[in-house]
Amino acid sequence: MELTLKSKQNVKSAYLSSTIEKTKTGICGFDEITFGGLPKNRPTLLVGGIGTGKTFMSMHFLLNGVNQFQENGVFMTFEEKTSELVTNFSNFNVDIDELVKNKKLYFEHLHIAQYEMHESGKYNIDGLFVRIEHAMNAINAKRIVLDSLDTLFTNLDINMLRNEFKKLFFWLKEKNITAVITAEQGDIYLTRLGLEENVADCVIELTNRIINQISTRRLRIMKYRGSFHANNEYPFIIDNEGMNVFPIATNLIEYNISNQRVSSGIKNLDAMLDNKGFFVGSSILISGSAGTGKTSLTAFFAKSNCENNKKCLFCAFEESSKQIMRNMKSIGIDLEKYVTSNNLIFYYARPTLQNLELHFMRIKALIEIEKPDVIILDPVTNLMTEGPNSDVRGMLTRFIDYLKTQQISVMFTAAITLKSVTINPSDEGISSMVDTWLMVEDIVTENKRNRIIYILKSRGMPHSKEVKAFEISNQGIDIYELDKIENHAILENRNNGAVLNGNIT
Amino acid sequence: MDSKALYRFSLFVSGEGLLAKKAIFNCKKYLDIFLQSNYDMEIIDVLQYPKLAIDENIIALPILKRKNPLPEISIVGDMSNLELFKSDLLMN
Repeated sequence: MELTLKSKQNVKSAYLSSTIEKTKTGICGFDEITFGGLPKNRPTLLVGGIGTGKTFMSMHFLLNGVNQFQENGVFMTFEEKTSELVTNFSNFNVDIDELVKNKKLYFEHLHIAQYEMHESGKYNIDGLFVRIEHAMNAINAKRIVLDSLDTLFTNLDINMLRNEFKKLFFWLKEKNITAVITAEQGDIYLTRLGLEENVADCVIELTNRIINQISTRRLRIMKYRGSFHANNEYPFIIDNEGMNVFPIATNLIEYNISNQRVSSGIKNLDAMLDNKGFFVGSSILISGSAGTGKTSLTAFFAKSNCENNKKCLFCAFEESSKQIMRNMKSIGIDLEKYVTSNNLIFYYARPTLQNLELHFMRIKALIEIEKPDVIILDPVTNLMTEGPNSDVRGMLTRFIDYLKTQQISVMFTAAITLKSVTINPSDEGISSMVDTWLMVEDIVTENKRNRIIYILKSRGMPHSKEVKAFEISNQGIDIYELDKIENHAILENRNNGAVLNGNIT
Repeated sequence: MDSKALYRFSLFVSGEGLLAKKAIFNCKKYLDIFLQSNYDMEIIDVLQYPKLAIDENIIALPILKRKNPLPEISIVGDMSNLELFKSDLLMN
């Protein structure tokens, strides 16, 4: 009894003191999921298959060390020649040659020639230790990468290998250096060589999986001795900006909430929203089946923002920017003028072009450059073709979280209807992260299709609960009261199930 | 030693551990047997000359390198296996 109490206290104190020191990698998102980076002065094992980004991540770790944390780094490569390595990273916006010249970085290629392996009796790999130590001392390094173990140990026999592997890890620990050691992933064992991974304090796994013909890179922290860490698999991308791990850091409690309002661009719609429009920094969903005028509503929102000299980023996943501009001209909105004045920026990409993470990362990169006040995503349901719905939802939630921390209003359209929500409950998941939800519907009465609009919810404001008629013409959008006869006909038809379903089933 | 010796060797070791001692002892013994005094061998402790480990691309230790005659031939280990030592180093 006493014992259990004591051990409980131990657990608690361990949690509170947050134990070990960490070294920041500077890799976007990674330091967040590990609560501070890699274990300081200890070796980390980075495993993954071919082309999963092991070399890239470890190089990124070194370059960030030099550029952001004034920590010099050693890169010991057993695979590529150092000149090749430098060339591979030359489009990375850093002058590696310069860093080497200034003794911030040190590269060494350890070439293992077959002829060395005439053997007679026992031997060890002390030569490696000598060279590592020499390299570390040459530039007073705080970080080191060994890439990769497999090549180094290819020619060693397995029993000796285990010994030397352990020795290497313990030796690195003594040297007070934060090390990253890469290794190929194996089928049965964690590493292809079947090493005793338990000597590593931290093990990170990289994978590159293909779902629906689109490849997604993922990162997982398999083990982190003495530290709490996030357990999930996190998508990440590699591009010329570097490596980015989702989630983007969000601290939901800390972001500011605005009381300011922004007009929807349609006077009568503002009237339904407490006469003031949406909250600045809120998320707005416009849902409805095809052809109900969702894109037109977003165009009005964009226009109203641009007119107030705000910046708007329009992310189109369905139509090209030129097509949108032409179509909107037909209802009296000249978007081109705002593009010229640089108030409106288009991001157009086919959903199938790349994976979801990449879309969001590119948009995020654009946000950081352009600093828009408003973002429009039209339509998000098109992204759903990419991978399972739960993925999209998780991604979208993280993305909206991110936008909220930046106080950017987001308006997105989705081809979902109330009915499709009941068929596909995950659609409802989207709605839960939305502050204001507008529904547009298409009702067919005897000889006419009627559009109706209503507000499903709007957090934090008194809003209209009426169902209103909604007309798009070359004069723009008109929202007005339904007259009694029309109202009756429409509601009757609606109750008879004439609601068109969205394209999600 | 005779600087004009036909056979020239470099033996790299680390420190003064058992492995290093064994290698030095065995090398001397076998070379004396096969080449009498007609050879020249320098012993280098890479702990003291780490730069040499880089220049000579050394990872495994101890390592014996035949510098002359060419081609250069290397053999790693404590040289406890006489047959391998002989065939790899002297028959090539």
